[in-house]
Amino acid sequence: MILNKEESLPLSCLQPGESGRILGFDVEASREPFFLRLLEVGFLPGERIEVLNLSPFGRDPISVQVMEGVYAIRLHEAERIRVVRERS
Amino acid sequence: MSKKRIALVGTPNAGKTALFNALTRSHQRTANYSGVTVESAEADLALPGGEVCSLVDLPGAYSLRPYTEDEGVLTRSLIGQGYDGMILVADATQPERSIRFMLEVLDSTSIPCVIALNMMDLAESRGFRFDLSRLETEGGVPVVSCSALRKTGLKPVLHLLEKAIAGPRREKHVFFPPPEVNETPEQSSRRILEFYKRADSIKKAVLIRSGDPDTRSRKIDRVVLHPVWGLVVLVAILGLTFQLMFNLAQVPMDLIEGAVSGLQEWVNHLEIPILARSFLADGVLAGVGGTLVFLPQILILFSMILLLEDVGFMARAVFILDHLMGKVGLHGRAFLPLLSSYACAVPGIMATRTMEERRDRILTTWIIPLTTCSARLPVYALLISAFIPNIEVLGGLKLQGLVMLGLYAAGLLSALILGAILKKLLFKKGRPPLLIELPSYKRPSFRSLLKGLLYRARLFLVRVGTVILVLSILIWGLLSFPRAGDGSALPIESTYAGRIGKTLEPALSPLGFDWRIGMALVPTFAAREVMVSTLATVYAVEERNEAGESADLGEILRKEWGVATGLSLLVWFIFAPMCLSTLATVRRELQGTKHAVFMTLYLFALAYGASWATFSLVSRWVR
Repeated sequence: MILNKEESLPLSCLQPGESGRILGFDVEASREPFFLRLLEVGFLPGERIEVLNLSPFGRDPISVQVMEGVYAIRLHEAERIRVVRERS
Repeated sequence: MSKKRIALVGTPNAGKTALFNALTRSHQRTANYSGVTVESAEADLALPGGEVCSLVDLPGAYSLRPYTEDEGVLTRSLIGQGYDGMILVADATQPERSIRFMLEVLDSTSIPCVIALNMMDLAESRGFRFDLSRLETEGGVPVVSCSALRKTGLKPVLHLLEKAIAGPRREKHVFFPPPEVNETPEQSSRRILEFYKRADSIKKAVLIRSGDPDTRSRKIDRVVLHPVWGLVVLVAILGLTFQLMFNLAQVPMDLIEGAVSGLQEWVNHLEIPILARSFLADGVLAGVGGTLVFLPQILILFSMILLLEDVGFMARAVFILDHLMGKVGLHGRAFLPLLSSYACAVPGIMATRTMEERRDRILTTWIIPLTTCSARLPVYALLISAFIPNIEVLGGLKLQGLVMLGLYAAGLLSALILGAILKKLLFKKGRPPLLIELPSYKRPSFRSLLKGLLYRARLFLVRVGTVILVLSILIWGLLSFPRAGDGSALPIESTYAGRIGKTLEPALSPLGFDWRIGMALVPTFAAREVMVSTLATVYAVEERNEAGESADLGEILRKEWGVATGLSLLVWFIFAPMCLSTLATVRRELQGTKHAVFMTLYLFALAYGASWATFSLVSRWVR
């Protein structure tokens, strides 16, 4: 497993089946109640995140696995979550 | 002495309701909470020692910092209301989340508590191993592993609960500093991160071995959320639901109708004054029976909804439909409320509680009355049989069936158009974000399903026995009084109802409605389906006065009204200014008379405009 610190990208860039590690949220995002809720369900810096499925319509929302849970979030929010891609 | 109250709390999908159903015999009543009125189930719980407590099933939440109105209910009632004990349900297959929530709850209250580590069977089969005594030491409360579905470990839960509530209040552990009253987002996020570190260290101590990921759900999702197969599955499920609702329900509906008319027949031969007979047969039985007939449809729709929720499909439906719903300004979560509304708008509106943003709740609630609730069905059925020729078109398709389908489509289409317009006019801001958990697929529990259904059935029957009964009697009174000097019935136009109809006639004649229809429309505010029985009464009374025998209502209507009137009335019912109980629900749920008034006005305007257009067009076209 190679972690490349330079390669920070939005979660929305990961394809189904790809996984990464969460770096954090965009600065303005981290003030919003929604992102606090994401923290609470486990979208924490350092956690592993895997993109599982894209919705059939418009490829939005996406489903992701974080900790033991699978959650659906929209691309609009996924764009504001920074991750590093993880290669296995 | 009043019963002790025990709260049942836990994260969503932790199996709280399954545990509730396993521990109690029945849903006894619904509890109303102050603040936002949200109903939670409450039932008697017998402790091993013989004491009977009241177990309250509170809404699930991810944290006590409320995000949806649902979660607000939990926080307020846990912190504000006096519970004597609490069962904290934790999902053993999700130890991280469960431990976090557990610590937060134990921190915030001093209510004596037992932790039920649920779904232990599933967790063990996936390889999870826990150090339960370590968890007990860390939390300072007893922990029992159990499975609500297999009914294992339930007795120890009750035993320990009994012991806990007999003892003193717990001392609050402080795992992390409590939230400030007006915490800034930065403070919150720092607090959450701090808390996580603590929770994580406790988790690491308690969890001896972590289980394998849930690969089965992933495999199922590969089909259910597939771009093509996913849609096939969704359409098949919806198709099956409606098919069952309209075909399977027919048999019990006929039985109920038969039973009611049998009772009416019996009443009509009783040796009691004619007014009393009429009161029982035309007032009580006709009104209550006319509504009771929908029970099978409501039960079928709700068994599908409960089943899909139980299995874990509802969240997937939201996932699939969110993008499409967004085009008309709706939240993906609006799917369930809208689906429920095909049975009845009232549970539909109540289901909007799960939406995070008030804006979404308002928008969904506004368009719900346009979905075709089952109360419209008998009216549609009557008018279609009367005015749409029973012929086959387009190679074998029944025209009547097509019109019925068209009416449903018209309702849905107008709902979507209205949604798009409202979104443009009122809610210019972007969509609020979505976060929904896709839970592991679970085998449904028959018992749990049955309980949910019984609960729904009871709510419905209570409504029939109270609101509908009173209104039916009231309408009967309007149709039967005043009486002539010798006590016999006056011609229908002289009754109070007739006078109301006559008063309304000038306003309704542009739509092709005469005073009789005007009269029949009045009680539809109580319940739309009453239209049929009112028309039956009106025309039965008239026919009896003239010829002395009654004919088929559809035939009478065809004779009495023109096609234009019939179609105009059909269209009226697509929008049909909704029933009072819907309005009351809107007012209660959105906490504002304003919304209820606006909704009535817009529905009236739509119904009036569309009926007027239909009547004008058709009467020009069909001479």
